[in-house]
Amino acid sequence: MLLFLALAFSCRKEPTAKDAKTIDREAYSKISKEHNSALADYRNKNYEAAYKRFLKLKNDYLALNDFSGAGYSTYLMAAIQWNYGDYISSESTAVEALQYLKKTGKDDNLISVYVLLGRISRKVFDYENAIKSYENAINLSNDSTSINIARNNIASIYADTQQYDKALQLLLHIQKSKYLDDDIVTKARVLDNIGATYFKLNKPEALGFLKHGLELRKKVNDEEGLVSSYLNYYDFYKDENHSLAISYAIKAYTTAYKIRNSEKKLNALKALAYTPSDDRDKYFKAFLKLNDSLYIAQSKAKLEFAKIRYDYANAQAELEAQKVQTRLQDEKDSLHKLLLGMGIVFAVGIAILIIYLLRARHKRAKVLEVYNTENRISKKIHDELANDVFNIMSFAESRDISLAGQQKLIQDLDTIYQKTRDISRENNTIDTSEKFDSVLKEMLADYNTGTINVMIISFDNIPWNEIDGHKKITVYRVLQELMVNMKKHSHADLVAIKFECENRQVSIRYSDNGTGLDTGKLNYKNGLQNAENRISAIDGSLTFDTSTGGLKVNCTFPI
Amino acid sequence: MYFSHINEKTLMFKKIIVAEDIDSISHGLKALLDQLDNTVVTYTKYCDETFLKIKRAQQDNNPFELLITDLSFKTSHMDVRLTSGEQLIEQLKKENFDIAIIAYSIDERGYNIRYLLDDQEINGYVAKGRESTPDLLKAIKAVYNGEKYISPHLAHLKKPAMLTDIDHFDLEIIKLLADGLSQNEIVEDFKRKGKKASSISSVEKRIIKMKASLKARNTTHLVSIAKDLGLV
Repeated sequence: MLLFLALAFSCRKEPTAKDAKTIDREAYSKISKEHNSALADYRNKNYEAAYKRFLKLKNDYLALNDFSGAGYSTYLMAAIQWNYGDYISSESTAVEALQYLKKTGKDDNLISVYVLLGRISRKVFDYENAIKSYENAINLSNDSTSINIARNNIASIYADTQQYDKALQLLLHIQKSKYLDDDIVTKARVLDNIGATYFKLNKPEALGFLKHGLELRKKVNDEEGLVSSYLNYYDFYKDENHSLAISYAIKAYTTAYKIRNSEKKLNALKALAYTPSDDRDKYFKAFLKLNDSLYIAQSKAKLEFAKIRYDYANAQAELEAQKVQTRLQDEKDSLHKLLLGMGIVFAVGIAILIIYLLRARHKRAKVLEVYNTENRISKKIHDELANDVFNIMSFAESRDISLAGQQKLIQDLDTIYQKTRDISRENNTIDTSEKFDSVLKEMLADYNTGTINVMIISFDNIPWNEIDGHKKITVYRVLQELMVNMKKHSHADLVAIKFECENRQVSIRYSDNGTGLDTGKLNYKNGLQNAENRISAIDGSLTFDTSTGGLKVNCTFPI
Repeated sequence: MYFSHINEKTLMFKKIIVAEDIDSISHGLKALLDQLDNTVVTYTKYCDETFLKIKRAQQDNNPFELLITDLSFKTSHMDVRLTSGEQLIEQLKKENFDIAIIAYSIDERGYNIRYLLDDQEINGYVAKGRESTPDLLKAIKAVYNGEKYISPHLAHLKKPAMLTDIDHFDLEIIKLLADGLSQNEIVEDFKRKGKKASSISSVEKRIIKMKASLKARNTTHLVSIAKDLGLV
């Protein structure tokens, strides 16, 4: 039983250390696939899809304690928010990314995050923090290109805050960097910015730098940069040459339109709207419209990302709840299993107990039966044989055994021998096969002597073949008992045994014309008690009736 | 003594095997069979042993011609295959051994005796008892001469014992008699009900048979006895 339970519960297997490694590897291959999909979405500007994927990735990485992965995912989320102009959210996301990446020690992506934070701060006019962020990026970086980009951005902030000298100084310093030629885009940007700054300072060098920047940008087809160049050209000409300025502003607008950069489109439209021209009203309306739609888009984006975050958090919470549910269910299941196991143990225990009790009862009945039989045989030997043997002993002792004496002796001994054979016959085995009816008839016929007439009535009424062996034995022994009793005590010369069977209830009616029973002697003395025990053992009954003279016994039992 | 008349120079079985597990009886048999000249007698105590010896002798082309076997054997502690004379006989018959068989037993159950003599076709059945020694010798001689033998006092068991069998027609007749009907009226009644045994002679035969069975002096007495016995 314990073994059975052990087997039942061993089905619940806890994962081992070895399994954990395997799971990690599997999880990573799954994550890296997801990571690639997210990056693809990001590059294809499917920002919402990318944002969703990165949000999930971040948590997957966190689950595996991979802060580098989590930081990178979070950074890209911040970049997406930045792209939608959701600066506030972008900032908090970028700060989150910063926290993860700092845990990994020095991570290249830290620089990107600082740069992003700098851009955000600049956008929200927090110049002080913007410069700090860029300086952080510069401190971390040993890559001159990144450093140059960051410095260029710092210079832009100086320009934003009208510190043109400071800006120029920094930009010229960058320009001297020998690594600038490695990154033409940055170089063009620096040259363009130098031009713009010279212009602000009303220096004649301005146009030359602007030109140089524009040429480089055209060369590497940096369209985003080109928009900036055109807008700087516009600035340069806006007061002196309206039509030229407008033509640059239109170039800026069409390029921005081409690259679908709404912010730059807005800047171009703003320029067109500010400059006197025939279409000024049109440009102004377009500017307002774009401004509004941009505002709406940004608001929408804010909501959208908030919703994505909310949905995700909800989904996580649900997942968590499900996990708890599953765990509870598991616990419930194991409780059920335990209860079932206990139930089975209990049921089996009860069954064993019942079987044991039945066996014990059966054994007791058997022992009693054997005891009764032994008792009966012993009594018989004492009553019928011991006396005879004693008589013969006395005879042999007292007489001189002559030939006549010998004859008597042999005769007496033969009588004893016959009696022992009778005892043997009364207790021998009974054939309960299909021959049983003739076996029974033969036993009854033994008592059908010249003086005693034994009659059987409707013997074939009983479907002997449908009766169990032990019931056949009972019928045989009971009738035998009755016949022995009849022969010995009743002095009857007529015996009728009537066989009936109705509704699968066998009824055997014995009657003789003897002296009947002395009811006081009925028990034990005549062995009829034994017959009664046997019948009750097969759920039958045995009733005696001596009221009409002779003996009538009614024996019934179910098939 | 009983053995005095057997020293005849007659043809006799040359090889006999005896299966008997009680030494004293075995000694009695020995005393008897020693009287037979030119006969080798082998004594065995277990059915399995007996069977193996018979089989071995057959293989050695020196088979036993007669088996005298008891039916009941003491249960032994050994792993026994054949536990009774009946099983030994059945096995020998099953394997078609050409050997005459005489059962020698205290068992006087008629159906068992008929089973062995009629179904298993053994050659003789001798009851153990006071007369058994000359009886067995007679049996051996008879069997040698190709006759079947059964002890005289068991002869009545060759046919199933007769009991007086009373059927429901008999009971019906007694019932009608008890109701005061005459034989003729009973016949009429049976005819009216379309019963089979409805001729005067068959009803009459039944009444006569029952009078004898119930030891009745006349019909009135018959009804009275039947009533006392609770038959009607």
